[in-house]
Amino acid sequence: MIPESHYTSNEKRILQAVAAVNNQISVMVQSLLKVDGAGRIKSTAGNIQRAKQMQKAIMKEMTQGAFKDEMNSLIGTFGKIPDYATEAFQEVRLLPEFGQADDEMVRIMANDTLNEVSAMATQWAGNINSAVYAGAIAGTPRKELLKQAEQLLIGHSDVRGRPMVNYVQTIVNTRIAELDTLMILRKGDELGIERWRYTGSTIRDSREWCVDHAGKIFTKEEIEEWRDKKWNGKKAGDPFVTRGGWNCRHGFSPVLVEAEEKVIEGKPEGGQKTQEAKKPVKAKAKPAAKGKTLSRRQMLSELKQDIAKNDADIRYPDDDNDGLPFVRFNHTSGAKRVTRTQKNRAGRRLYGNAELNGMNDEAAAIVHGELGTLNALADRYNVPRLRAMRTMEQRGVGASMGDGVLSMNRRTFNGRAIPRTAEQAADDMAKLKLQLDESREAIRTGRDAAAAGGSAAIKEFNDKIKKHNKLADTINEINQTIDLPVSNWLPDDRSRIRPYTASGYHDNGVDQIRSTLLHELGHHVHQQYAVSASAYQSNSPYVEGVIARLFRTKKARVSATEYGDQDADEWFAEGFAMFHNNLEHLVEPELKELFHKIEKGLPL
Amino acid sequence: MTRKEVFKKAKKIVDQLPADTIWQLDVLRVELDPDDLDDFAWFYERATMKLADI
Repeated sequence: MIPESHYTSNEKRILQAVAAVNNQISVMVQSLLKVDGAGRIKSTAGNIQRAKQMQKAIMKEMTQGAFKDEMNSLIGTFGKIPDYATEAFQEVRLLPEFGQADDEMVRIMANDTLNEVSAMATQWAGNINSAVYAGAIAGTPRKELLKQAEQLLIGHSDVRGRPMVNYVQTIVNTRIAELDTLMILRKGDELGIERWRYTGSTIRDSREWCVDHAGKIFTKEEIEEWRDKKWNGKKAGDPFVTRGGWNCRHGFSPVLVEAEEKVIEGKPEGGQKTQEAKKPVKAKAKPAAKGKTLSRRQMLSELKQDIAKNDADIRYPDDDNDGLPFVRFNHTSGAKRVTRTQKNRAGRRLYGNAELNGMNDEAAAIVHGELGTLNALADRYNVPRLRAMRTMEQRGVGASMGDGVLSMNRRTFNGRAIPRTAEQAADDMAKLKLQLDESREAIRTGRDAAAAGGSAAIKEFNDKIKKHNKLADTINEINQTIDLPVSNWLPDDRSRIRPYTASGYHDNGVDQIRSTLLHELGHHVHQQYAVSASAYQSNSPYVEGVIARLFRTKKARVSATEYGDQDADEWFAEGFAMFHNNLEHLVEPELKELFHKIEKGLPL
Repeated sequence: MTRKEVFKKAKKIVDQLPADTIWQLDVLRVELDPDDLDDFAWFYERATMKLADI
């Protein structure tokens, strides 16, 4: 096991290295950007030019030179892992042997970690560059700009936000702990170890999961079952390697069978402390017809049948004017202003239809799998089931809901269904952008030849365009796939830095997509619950009034997501998504009470 | 073509709504950086709504 002193030494060294970068940037800002008498950066052409020049220097400072050397040296300490692993086996009087393959494993994981840190530094250099450039243009007080840079890098007591130093510390310490565990398990396999004790010091920040499991003994199979368990801060991947999750300092130590006094069941006693046991409805993927994998066409056909059936629900109000289904929301996202007739036509053509155009198979399978959960929750909250599903592309909108029509941004869903690390994303992006440039050039130069070459040549040209546009879509989607660290924010934290939406608490695409779908279902509940035709037609469902009142009273208090603080309806929808996706502990009591009242049909 | 020129041309296409509107938008889209695709999607939506007479 890695001693605690190794982790704290890493943290200290990273802090010093990032602080040194901050000092360098501070010197650059103070020496290059001229200020006026009031200490504001003069917004002159000269200053803007110098701010531009500084961008290169800042990027260099953060991705090369002393910072990179220090990170290289720090990650060189990964070489101590075989020694730590040897110590773990000394307790059971075994001596593992290490060979070239082990050295190679250490080398690969050290390199991967270094790449992740470099990607993080590049990203943060971009953030600082934007702040410096904006400061030069806007004439920001120099003191404030320096404070912004300090906040971005090492944190500032007056400014909220998670700084780069925290991310780098998390990455380095998580990776080294993962390598240590991996090495111990590998040697354990070679030595025939079958049981493992979950060990490590329990500190103030330890996860409930780790506290519950610390000191207990597990077989490999029991640890394997952790894959399906849920807990706050869990990290996707092999549970032997990822253990409690990001920053977890627990690990496994070998246990000899004859030395066991008592084998404790791997499953936590009673299971009541795990979040899985807490959640009222387990959002579980719908099984694909008794173990069979459905084709895309079969999935779509099932969705269509379900949706068409739901559309017949008489609780969806009709329009008093023409007796046809009422359309409250504007579904014509392509038009800024619409007439009542246009609005009706656009909505009514969607009702009863389901399509997943442009959604990749992975995302489509997740959506298909979640339909059962959405239907079950609609029944539970006494609202009609969804009556339409469609895909859309709208910047900054992951999905939307209105009139029982669920619109999903195909780019967001596609990206989440195939998550990548920041490093993978950068690699993929660079390769694809090269291909894109080549393909664009070929289309530009080939246009005239295609026009002159007859129908076959035109067809080939059109295929090239289609292929190009698909490639561009892929690149666009990769932008949305970067797998950022999962937030561990808790309601009693003093920090106001929370994820933008509830998806930020989940570390995998399935949960993130589920979170978005549940959020939208939350909107559906406040739009449709016990709504009279007249209230619906006058845009004032009863529940929405109740939520607005509750939201006004909670206003000063932060909720678990930034989006939830935006307005009453989003607060309700975010709470609903968390309540039904394993994050009940992040939902405010008054919202839980409201969900309960709606579910039971009690007066609100 | 710059981003601005592409969007200007796209607007003209959608306003005039020729028979091959979608194809013309496809051709124009080739000129864009992938970051601009979400904004460009508006033209497809608008064209689709207009073609569907909504």
